[in-house]
Amino acid sequence: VLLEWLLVITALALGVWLLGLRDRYAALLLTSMTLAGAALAVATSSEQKPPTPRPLRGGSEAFATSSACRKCHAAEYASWHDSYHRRMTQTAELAAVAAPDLRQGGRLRVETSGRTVELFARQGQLWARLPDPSVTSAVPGEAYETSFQTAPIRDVPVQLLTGSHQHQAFWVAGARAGELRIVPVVYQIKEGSLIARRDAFLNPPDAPEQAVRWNSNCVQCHAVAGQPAHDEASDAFATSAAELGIACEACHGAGAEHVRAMQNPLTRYAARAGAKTGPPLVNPKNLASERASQVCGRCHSYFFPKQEADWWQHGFAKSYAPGDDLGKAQLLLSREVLAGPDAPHLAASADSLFYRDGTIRVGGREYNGLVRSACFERGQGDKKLSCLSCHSLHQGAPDDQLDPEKLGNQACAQCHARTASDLSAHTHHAASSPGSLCYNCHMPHVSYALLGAIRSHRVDSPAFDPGSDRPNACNLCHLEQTEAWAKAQVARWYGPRADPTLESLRTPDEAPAGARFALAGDAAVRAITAAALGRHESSHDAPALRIQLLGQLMQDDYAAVRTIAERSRRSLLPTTDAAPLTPALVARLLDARDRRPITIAE
Amino acid sequence: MTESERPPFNLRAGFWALFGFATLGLVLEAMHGFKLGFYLNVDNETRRLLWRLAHAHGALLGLINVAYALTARAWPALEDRLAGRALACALLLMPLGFLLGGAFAEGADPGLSVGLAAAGGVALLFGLGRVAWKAH
Repeated sequence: VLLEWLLVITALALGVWLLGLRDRYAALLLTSMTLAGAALAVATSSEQKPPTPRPLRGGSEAFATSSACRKCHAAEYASWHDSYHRRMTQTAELAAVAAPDLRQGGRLRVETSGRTVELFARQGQLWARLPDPSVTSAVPGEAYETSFQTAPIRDVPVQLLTGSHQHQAFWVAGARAGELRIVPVVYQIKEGSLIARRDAFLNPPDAPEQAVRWNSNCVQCHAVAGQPAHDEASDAFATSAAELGIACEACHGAGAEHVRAMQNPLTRYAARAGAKTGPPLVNPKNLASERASQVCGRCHSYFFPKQEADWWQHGFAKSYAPGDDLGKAQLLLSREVLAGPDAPHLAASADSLFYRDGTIRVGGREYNGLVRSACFERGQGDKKLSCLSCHSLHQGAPDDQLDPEKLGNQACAQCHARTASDLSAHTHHAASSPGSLCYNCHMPHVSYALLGAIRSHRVDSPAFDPGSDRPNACNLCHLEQTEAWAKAQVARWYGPRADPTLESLRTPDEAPAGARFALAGDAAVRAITAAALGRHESSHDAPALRIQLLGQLMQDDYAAVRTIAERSRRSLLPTTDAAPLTPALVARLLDARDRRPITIAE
Repeated sequence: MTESERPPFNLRAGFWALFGFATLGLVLEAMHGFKLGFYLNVDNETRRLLWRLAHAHGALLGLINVAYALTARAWPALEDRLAGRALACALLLMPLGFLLGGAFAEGADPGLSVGLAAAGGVALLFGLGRVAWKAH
């Protein structure tokens, strides 16, 4: 600042000398110039604010950060900049806050576990008023809720934000040094409302509130090269990340050396001419499809670190880099692994995470589904299914990042060209109808995430395995039909040999499949059915059945099921038709409800 | 060269400015070539903008000073001592304001010295206005 003032005064003195002050016009000019200069300086100068507290110490020297990448890769930077990946973790400046009310200086509050939690802006920073997190996070997890109900209320600055697409979560300093703990509220971006965190996820109604910790739960995937750096002796964290959010180097690997090499223009032109010019960055497009999918699968999977002690220090920053074999760093979880003798201890049960047939039902864990798809298991070389078979991170629209050249049936048609050329012969639905979109039958909405149902990424054919608790694709559209009807249709069209499980079907049930899913299914199935009741893809919409089922689901024990049912209810058309299910049938299905506690809290 | 043979101040200042700010252009190009972070990184967007403005305004004001000096020689009635000084003053302050404002930029805000650019702007308008008035 001193140097700047010195230079300004010198420049002004020179200006005055140049101008001279020989007449009144010169004096007038000098006064005008001084006033204009001072006005511009004041208008553009930044308010001197104390720096925002940052939980991160800075990342590894090997990483250059996205800012450096933009110097050469402006288009890729721009497409990434528009993505939700970039905004997955942000510091809590008001500009990054999703709630317009908070950005404009308002307040949002919500009741949770008997206490009021409030968010508000103060001096350009987001703050939270809540039971003192330095008290509530000092106790063991099982005592958190009791502590939360008795701790004194305190105002604390919010340090980080997670999410910018569906939900936004908020993080404040915890009891341990360097620790960040969640504020137990979630802002629903599309609805524009603040809700209790326990209601934003699929939690049994009697499940205690959890004090989630950013340093161990989130840093591994919501930042580049996140390292928990937990010191066991002092129980303190010195957590670091190369960059917040999922940035360039999360997929392309550490880039500092590449940036250094490419600063030399001669090196760049040599590289353009095809010369080998030092360490190349990884481009997942150029990897074998299995390794390319692992780049995404590093985070989009349900996994456990193979070297747990190392993970508490370095996360996956040292054990995995894009292009490596992911299996060396991570144990991919499945029902079989969780049933084994060396199964890691998880907060959620295997029943919560997987259907009985082994299909993952947690959204955001698509890699677990992908690797159990026939197109992945049987595909070879370029024909092996990978994430990039459908997605393009730099070309796709931010919502799903689907490759614009592979929308609709085009992704499947890359291999299944003959089927795609005579679609109706295969689908037995009109070619332009939702029933002729490959993914509606082979990737139905049977995964649960963020108060909604998303497509399963286990690409398979509709099955009617009597042991499975996974809703079948046919009846997720044809909710008013029975599963026996769907089974018979599939058998007539494709023959019983098309699916060996068709030989051993369950006893036909007279209840519509939608009723069985909605009333007798477990909590995740009920949530998924509540979402299906809000989609209207079948030509037989059955509005009276939908109203009756959503009426039941809006009284569900699980808050998440009620929320989804409420949303779906808004999409229904009014009808005067009587409720089609008899009270006796409803009671019988409710008696048969699968009451295993289900937790999908991410 | 005697004092009377010496070219007018605005002509000399204008050509030196053209030389200086053309050199600055070359330096900016080189910084692009070598992908220097303090000029090209996203966090330094403001600096990049202000230094480009310094280059452009410096070169343009150099040409204006040259044009004024030649005009005054061709039409002595248009010579105005105060206007000439104001144009020279603008030539100093305006690009310097952008240059220093960029050098001391923090985030999206330029340094306080960007105020010099506004002061130079007033001097430029004053100088141009006086010459235009005389030519009217």
